[in-house]
Amino acid sequence: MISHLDDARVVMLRDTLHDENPLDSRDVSHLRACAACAAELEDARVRGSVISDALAALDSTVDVASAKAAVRARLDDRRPRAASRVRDLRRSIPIGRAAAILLVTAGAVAALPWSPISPWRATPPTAPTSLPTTTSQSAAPEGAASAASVTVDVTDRIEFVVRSVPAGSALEVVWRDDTAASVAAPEGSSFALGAGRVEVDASAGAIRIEAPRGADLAVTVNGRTFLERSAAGLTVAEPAVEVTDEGVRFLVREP
Amino acid sequence: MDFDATFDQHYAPLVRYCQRLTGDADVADDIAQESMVRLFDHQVSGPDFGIRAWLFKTATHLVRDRYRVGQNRIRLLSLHPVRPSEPESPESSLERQELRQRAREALDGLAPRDREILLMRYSGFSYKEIAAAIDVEATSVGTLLARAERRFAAAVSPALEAS
Repeated sequence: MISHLDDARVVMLRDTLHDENPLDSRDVSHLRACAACAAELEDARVRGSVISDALAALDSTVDVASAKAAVRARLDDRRPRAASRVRDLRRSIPIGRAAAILLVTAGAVAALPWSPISPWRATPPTAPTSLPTTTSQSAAPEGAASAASVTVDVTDRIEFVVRSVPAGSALEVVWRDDTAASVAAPEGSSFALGAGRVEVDASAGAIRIEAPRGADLAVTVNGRTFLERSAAGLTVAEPAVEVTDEGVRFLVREP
Repeated sequence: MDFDATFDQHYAPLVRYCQRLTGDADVADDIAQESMVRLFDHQVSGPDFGIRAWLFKTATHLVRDRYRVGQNRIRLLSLHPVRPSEPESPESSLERQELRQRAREALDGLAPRDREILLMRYSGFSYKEIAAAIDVEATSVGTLLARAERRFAAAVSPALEAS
């Protein structure tokens, strides 16, 4: 019984004649012997020509020179601005002073019995632990009516695992010039802390992560790694809206 | 990476791909330019085919993310006003218009993934490159492409598929 080539093999054979797809000698032998499949191959070629013509009808004139000038202007515009913002930030908050403020604040907060930081620091659990959220006015991400947040001190590596983020949500990772890390998410989000790990079940809205500028970290959103930094450097694994010296902004995509 | 050489080589095919994908010349310009900005801003480097794949993949993701034309478009339009296409004769213009309309409707009738595969293939990408760009198995590309081609051709030229 003759087994004819299916549509996919015919199309691949057609394209093999033009590019790099590997030829299967059995398919080629079959094609020589089978008039029906040879006719299918010819039909696929005609179809390809019709498709090319139809798609070409959609094309309009491309003004490369104007686009080039526009892109160059955008690149020129953003580089000095980003550098200036970083310089301003460094001037306004000296690293030593920021670290001192952070230590005092963290110590005071950790001493409170209801503090979300104290149990994590005293006896770091190996598995994530559910914790109540604290409200932070200062870390409210843009676009969120109100926000909950947690702040932790980073001693080694920090991993952020954010779940249930709706597609289209803004997520930004901002570098800090101290050793604190925080996540701010819309009101209603829940947080869990583990050793070197912050987990967030997010409500709908914008999310802002702050992390020490030089720390090793990973940011995972809805099971996908968005961002990772190790000794090898920073890897932006998902398409970002913007990457500057201040941080990285994403728009969360559908899975 | 040489800005002018990279732009001259990749921009026109990229914006045509975006035009075909979105059906909107203004949005296509926005997305293609945004992809170019990211390419240079992220200092992506590699061989030409790698640069091309990176640009098309980024543009595809931007379209999938339902790229919103807001302030970005207004700013871009001020820098890069849309110009009318070259003039055509009345007969060829009418034929082209009809074909354009059928092609647009045929593309809109495809599933997003099938549309991306078809357009990437007809932008000159190999099966492996398509697989990498749109996150499907390389072995599936032939099947998905054959299906997309049949559906598109049937909508554009029903007589061809009926024969």
